[in-house]
Amino acid sequence: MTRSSTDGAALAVKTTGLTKRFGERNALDGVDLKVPRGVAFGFLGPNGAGKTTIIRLLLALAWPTSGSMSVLGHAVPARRAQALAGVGAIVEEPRFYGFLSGRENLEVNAAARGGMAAKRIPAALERVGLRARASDRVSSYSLGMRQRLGIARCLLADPELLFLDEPMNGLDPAGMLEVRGLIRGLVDEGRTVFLSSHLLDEVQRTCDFAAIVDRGRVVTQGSIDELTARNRRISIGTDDPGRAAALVANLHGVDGAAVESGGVVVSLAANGTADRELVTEIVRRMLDARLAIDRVAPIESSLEERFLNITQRLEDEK
Amino acid sequence: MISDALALIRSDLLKLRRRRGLMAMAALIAVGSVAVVFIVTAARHGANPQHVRPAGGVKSFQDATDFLGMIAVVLAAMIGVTAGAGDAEIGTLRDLLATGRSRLAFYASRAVAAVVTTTVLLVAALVIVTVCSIALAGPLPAPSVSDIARRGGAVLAFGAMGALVCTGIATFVRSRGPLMASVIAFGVLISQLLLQLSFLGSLREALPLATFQRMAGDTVAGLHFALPLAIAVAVAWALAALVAGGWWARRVEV
Repeated sequence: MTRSSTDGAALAVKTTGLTKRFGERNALDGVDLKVPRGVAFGFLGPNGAGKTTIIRLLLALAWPTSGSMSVLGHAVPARRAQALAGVGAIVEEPRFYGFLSGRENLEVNAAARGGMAAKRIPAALERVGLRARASDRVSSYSLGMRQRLGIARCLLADPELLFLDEPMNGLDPAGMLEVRGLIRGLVDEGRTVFLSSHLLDEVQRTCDFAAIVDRGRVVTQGSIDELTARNRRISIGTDDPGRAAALVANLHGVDGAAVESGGVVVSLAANGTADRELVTEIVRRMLDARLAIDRVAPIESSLEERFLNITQRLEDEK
Repeated sequence: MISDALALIRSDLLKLRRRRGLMAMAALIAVGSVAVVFIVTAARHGANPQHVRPAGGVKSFQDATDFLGMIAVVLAAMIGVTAGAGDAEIGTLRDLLATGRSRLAFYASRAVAAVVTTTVLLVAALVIVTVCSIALAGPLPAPSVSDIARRGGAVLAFGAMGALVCTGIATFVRSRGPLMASVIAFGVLISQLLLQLSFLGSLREALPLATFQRMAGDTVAGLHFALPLAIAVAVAWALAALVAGGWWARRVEV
């Protein structure tokens, strides 16, 4: 898996204070986003959170109300031609001319790109597995085939950066697996994939980094490991869960402890002491208090839990 | 640079050409309708040569090119509106603009493709009209080269102007059906009515239909305006629609 640093020079996308208003409504509200190069970056959020809006702004399809942004180091929209020359994108569902064949649709897009794009058509069709159906009208394609043709269209740019807006929408499990494989293959070649999705599990499986957006604001971002680690918990089996919870709840590095059936669940602070030292201290304290322990196990945390924690918290703060 | 621009125009021509329903209907209207008029008139003349004049000749050529002026409006509406609004209506405009290519380059390419397609169909219709007017003239005088050049040129210029105007307007109004209907209604019906309203005076010289009739050499409902003025009015219509469409194409959010 490719991991990149997040220093300025290595960023595929950077936005600062990006705001977009539609009338009285803030679709985006001061978004600061940093997408490293060479990674699959998940842009997570519920429907209407602003995911497509930010992609439209980055592609210069719409104009920001305030703030600044750059794509592949070029300011957008001022230098959009240079920025977008290395970008392939699917915005919302991929749209095509149904009365043209798959190949002709790519020819139309290649004509828009100019340069070498037309020469990349056969390889792009081959890569997404549509060579045999390239002469058929797109109106006869399934949704999965259209998604793959959309990715082939992105490849005409030989892109450094791909924006894929909900690429798994409407796909069956086999189709999702196929698209996931395509995305990972693109990242393995050193390309950056910006994957907008509301499918949390898909983002966790496919992406290296992610940002969570809600109501037009990026509420957290980082590597998938960092995001899920912020929700670290361990389960400890003991004969007196109530006393155990009281003993460890105030320890430095512990966010809280809750009694559960046959034990206690301890939440570790996101930026607290290293796990090994902290867990050792927790266990030592319980043993010193003569509590019996029959199990100590980490609780696997998912991006979904993290996402729900954050969005629920925001809902509560409203 | 030029080859990139030509590739873009070719792709817009492809998009129009492959709309088989649209193109079949446009060809039927352009070529089929004039062919039918000549075939029917020739058949009637053959059956009753004493009372029905030959299908060809100068008068038939004038009538047919006047008719082609109306056909030009219909073709310009069908093709210009489709070229101007087709990408936005299907949803592919985003994907094209996301390539980073100049928005004006796309717009200009659509306008050129609309003019070329409309002109090709009108040329085909004009060929039929000219050949039939000469071949079926019988004892009547056949249209001269200057007749053919002047009236044929007027039809083509009117068609090109219409295609440009429709492409420009379609950039604002993305719904093809209502716009086509409105353009055809204005060009074929409302303009005819306005031309008859004498109290409008020389304001009628601003009507596209009046410019066509003047360019074709017809008298226009009592108006006596110069040919250069008619040409200037036609150019102004096309330019106004193109500039407005180009301005909108540059700033519209998609």
